[in-house]
Amino acid sequence: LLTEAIKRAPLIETILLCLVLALAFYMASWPRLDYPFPLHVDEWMHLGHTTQLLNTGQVNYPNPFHGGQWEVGGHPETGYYLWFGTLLLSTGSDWLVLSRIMPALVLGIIAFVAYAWGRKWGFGLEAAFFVTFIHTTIRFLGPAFLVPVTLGLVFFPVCLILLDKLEQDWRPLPLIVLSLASLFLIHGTTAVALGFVLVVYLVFYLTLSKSPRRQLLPALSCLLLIPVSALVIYLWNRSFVMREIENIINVEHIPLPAIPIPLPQLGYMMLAVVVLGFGFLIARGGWRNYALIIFTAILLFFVQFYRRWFQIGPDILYERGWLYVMLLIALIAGFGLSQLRHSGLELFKRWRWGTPLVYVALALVVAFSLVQRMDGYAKEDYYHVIDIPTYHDFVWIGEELPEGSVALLNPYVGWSFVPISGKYVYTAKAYPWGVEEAREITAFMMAGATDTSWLEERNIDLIYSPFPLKNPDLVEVRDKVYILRKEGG
Amino acid sequence: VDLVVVIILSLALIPLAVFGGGPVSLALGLIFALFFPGYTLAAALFPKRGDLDGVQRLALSFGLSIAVVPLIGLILNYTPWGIGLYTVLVSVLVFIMVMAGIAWYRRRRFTPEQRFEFQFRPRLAQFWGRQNRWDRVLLGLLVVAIIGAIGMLVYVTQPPKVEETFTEFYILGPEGRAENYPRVLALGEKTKVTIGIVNREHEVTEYTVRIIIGGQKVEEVGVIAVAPGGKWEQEVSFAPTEVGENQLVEFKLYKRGGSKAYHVLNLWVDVVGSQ
Repeated sequence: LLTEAIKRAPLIETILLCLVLALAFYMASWPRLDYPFPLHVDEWMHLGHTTQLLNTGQVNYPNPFHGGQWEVGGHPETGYYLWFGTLLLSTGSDWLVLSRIMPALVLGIIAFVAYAWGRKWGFGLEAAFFVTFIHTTIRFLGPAFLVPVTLGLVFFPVCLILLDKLEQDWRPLPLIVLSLASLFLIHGTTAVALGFVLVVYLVFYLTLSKSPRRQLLPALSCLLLIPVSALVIYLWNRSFVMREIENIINVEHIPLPAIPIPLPQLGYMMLAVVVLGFGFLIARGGWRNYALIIFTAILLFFVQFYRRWFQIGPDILYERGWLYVMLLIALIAGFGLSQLRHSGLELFKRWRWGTPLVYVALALVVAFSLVQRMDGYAKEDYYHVIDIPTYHDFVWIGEELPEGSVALLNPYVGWSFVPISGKYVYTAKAYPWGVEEAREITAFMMAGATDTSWLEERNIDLIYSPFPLKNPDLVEVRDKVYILRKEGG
Repeated sequence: VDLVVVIILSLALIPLAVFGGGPVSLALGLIFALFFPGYTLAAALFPKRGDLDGVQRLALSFGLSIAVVPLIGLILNYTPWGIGLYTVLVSVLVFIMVMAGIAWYRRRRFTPEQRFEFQFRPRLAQFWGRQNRWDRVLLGLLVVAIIGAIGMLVYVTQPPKVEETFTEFYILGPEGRAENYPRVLALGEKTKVTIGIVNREHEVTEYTVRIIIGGQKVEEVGVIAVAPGGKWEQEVSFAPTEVGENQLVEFKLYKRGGSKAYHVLNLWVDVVGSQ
């Protein structure tokens, strides 16, 4: 039986790959299996920007979350809006449909590309399996949310494949530059992290590789072209870059506590395999393995200690950094598991039952990892921005109110209002920002929203209020929906 | 064969995307935006068989498509046509066709043995006949695994069944839009509004609507039976009975058997003797 199985290893691997992809689809959708809408405010925000970009047909558009006031300069994640907008147009589908499909597909793609990269080095399937474990929280986001940083994760294994190819010829060079330039438009933070990984990889290649077929010129060119790809975003969105540079110099830290280490959520079994993976990488040696160890270790150090100790630099690198770490350690775990298999088979090769025993042990490791991972997901808290009646309220507002109407509502719910209704909100904020503003708006509503001039000065056309309003200038046209009567209306 | 299939499917997508919706348009649109641009780009750069293995070619097709699509959109932004349905579809299609053309040209420079070609074997019966028992079992398992993976994708992306029950109740102005609600009414003169009910109670529900001014019922509509998921909308007129400023007009929705109003909507009006 074993001999027959070994002869057909590629076919068995393809079957297992299908199962891993099914797992990826499930893992990415798990937090929303019982909820029909996007979960996190960031998802809603990006949907709002995408719909606004498509409505106006250009990347500089009136900001729908600031009452439709004109925004100078493009949005830093415009590449993501262009990508998602293209998907909406080419599928002819509603954003609601795509927002359920895409998290599953994107994690499936990340797992598949990780498989394609790891396969060359003998651990593709294991890497793809552990990539499905990448965690999602409302703090550092993750594959269960349809957000730019998740899409950006695809580029890590893509660029690793291209870098491997770059050792043989120059053709991957333009593709690496193209990928990085596009990533700067999709999610600049991820592009910076990937740029760092590429630099470490190339430096190790240039200095430590002893291969006689070493391609110095393409590798050196790649090293030099990495900052050039960043120029795309600089040339296109200079005001944004200047704003970011100013933010780096005069840092205003996000007023949130440090992120608790999220690694236990991945499960202790996987973490043990990661440690083994590090050990095997060190034992095996070679510039490629050292590069993988070094850039993972530096990123791990950065997210865990850098901000806590030094308090400098933009918080966003720290806030999203765990995702890059988790992707990289998933690859290392894949390596660890594959080496466990090889070592086990080697160790027990003389014993008749050795090989089946090794495979049973590996199956147990996989099963325990999976159980612990699901347990980690079950312990994670997610929240819902809106409920189903609120969704229908917003749909109704979208259908019945004139174009360009501006709504006043809870700033934290405001993010969902724009993509559903297609109308603007006076303000939308994500915690921890806008606490004072949210308090003011709530107090205004609780007091009955009696000051009509306050509403008129802010060009507000309607209020969506959970509290009863007592202003004769407001018509309650639907539960919670109050329209401000215009002059003569 | 592969490049021709890519172009035919891309061309087939355009009318589907324009005329909208459906699972075919969804599946084809996803492939069009997530796979074809990268596939043709990789084919143009790597025309030889040994340039990339099949799995890497597939993986790069996804990754490069994600890289290419935003850049096409950004370029479109600086054209007079902007970013819209036709411009996006046509520009991505043009990119796919140009890259497919380059790939075709570059592949022609190699012998058929050297060039990358998608191997398509339509003789399924012959192929199946060549397999032994183990291969057939594994191929069967592979088919099950593929169907399982697609089935999982379909399952997890289905919206959950909604348990919440509620009713939508609204009033519209004289033109049937949420604007121009009456502000000043003449005593005894009929004024029209449109009342709407959407039943999301998951069962046939009967409603009554009462219009009350100053605590006095001036109009009643119903019993209105609305099917689950159904919508009822009707123009209703009412006339005020007393002169006075800032009179509260209440639109009360009752569910059959309920003594307490299910929803109440408020409209403030001034009632004058004559306009």
